[in-house]
Amino acid sequence: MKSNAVKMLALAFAGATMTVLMIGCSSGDGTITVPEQTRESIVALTQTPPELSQATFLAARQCLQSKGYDVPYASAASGNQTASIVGVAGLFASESAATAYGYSSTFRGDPDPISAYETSLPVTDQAKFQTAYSGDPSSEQVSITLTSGAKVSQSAEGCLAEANIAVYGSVATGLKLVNFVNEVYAQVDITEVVAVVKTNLNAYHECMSAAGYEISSLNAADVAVSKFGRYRGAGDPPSADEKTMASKDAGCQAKSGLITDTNKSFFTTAASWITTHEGQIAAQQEALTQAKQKAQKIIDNA
Amino acid sequence: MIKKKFIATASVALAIGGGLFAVAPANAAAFTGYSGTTYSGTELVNSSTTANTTVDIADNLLSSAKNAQGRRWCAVNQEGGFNVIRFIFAPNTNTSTLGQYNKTTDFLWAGTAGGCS
Repeated sequence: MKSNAVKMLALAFAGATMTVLMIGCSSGDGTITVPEQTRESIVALTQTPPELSQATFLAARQCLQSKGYDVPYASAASGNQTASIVGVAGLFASESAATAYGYSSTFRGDPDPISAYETSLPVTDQAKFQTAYSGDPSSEQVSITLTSGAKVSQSAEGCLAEANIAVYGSVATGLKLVNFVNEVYAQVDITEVVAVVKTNLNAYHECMSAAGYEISSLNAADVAVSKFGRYRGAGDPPSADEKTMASKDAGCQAKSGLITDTNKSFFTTAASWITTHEGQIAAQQEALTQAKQKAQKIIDNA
Repeated sequence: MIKKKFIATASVALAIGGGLFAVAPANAAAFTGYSGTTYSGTELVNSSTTANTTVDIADNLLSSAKNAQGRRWCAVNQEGGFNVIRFIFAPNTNTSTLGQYNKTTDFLWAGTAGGCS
């Protein structure tokens, strides 16, 4: 069951990538066209596959168990399987991802399993556990600087670092991959994207209304909570009814142009940046591919 | 609410890694945000919530944060009537500066709120 949940999310992720390939919108600022392969890579890199978080948890758990902390098995699958690459809440990345993954609003919001274990310990033991997990308070950090000027770091010591090395090859590689979405967000011309959304919003609402869902703005996730509640744990698939709604929602977003036109806006605005960084994007895509392979082995051997 | 558009220059590297330094840890399983870079200034938020929820903070101040949770947190702006995720704080990471998004955040999403899964 737990393994199936992770596999389901992985399939959703793969589906999302395939659908983006099928979008086929032409992009560019008139002189620059972003190659389809690069577009595919960018979308894949912004949608962190759930098996990576699950494998990182399992590797950290194994390390912590070797230090005497009996962290129980749990699903730690998380990611960004459905969100649009432009960051506008309520927009799906694709129909296939929406159908398989549903609305993130219907998750219960359970603590992640490492945090849950830590808070279950006596307060006097929590600092010691933190040291085992993420290194001594004075431990070294690996740092990266993003194009936006943001600086992100993570411990170079402890079981978390060991887990990141097991999944990503290095702490720095993992940091770059999980922060690629921030690189993409920094390239979004949000004024233009909002204009695109507004242009297509009425058609989207009409489509949703015809499908039986009364939506205002982009609040379908709120409607989903009122209909289905917060009933899912991490990694659990959506119910049949939620799948139906999410599928129709994403279908209406596609039909109205919300998905294709906002993606087109991004690939036009960011064309120069993408072209300049094409080599680094390809390298990150390769790192992602390798991380997914390592993650699957860790999950299979757990 | 800041609607200023920032354009990153193509000459800046995608990710320049490798720096090693020490940083004090965040509180156990908490997300802590500060008004100044490098975890200075006013502590705007110190939350251990795991609920899918909006965590409001003073507008246009957030400049650094420590995420000690194994879940993402998101910095969100309201732009033209829509909620837009501008920066994702990955699990178990420290962000000493948000760069171009310093002092622009309207509120935070915790858990899987708003697609911040």
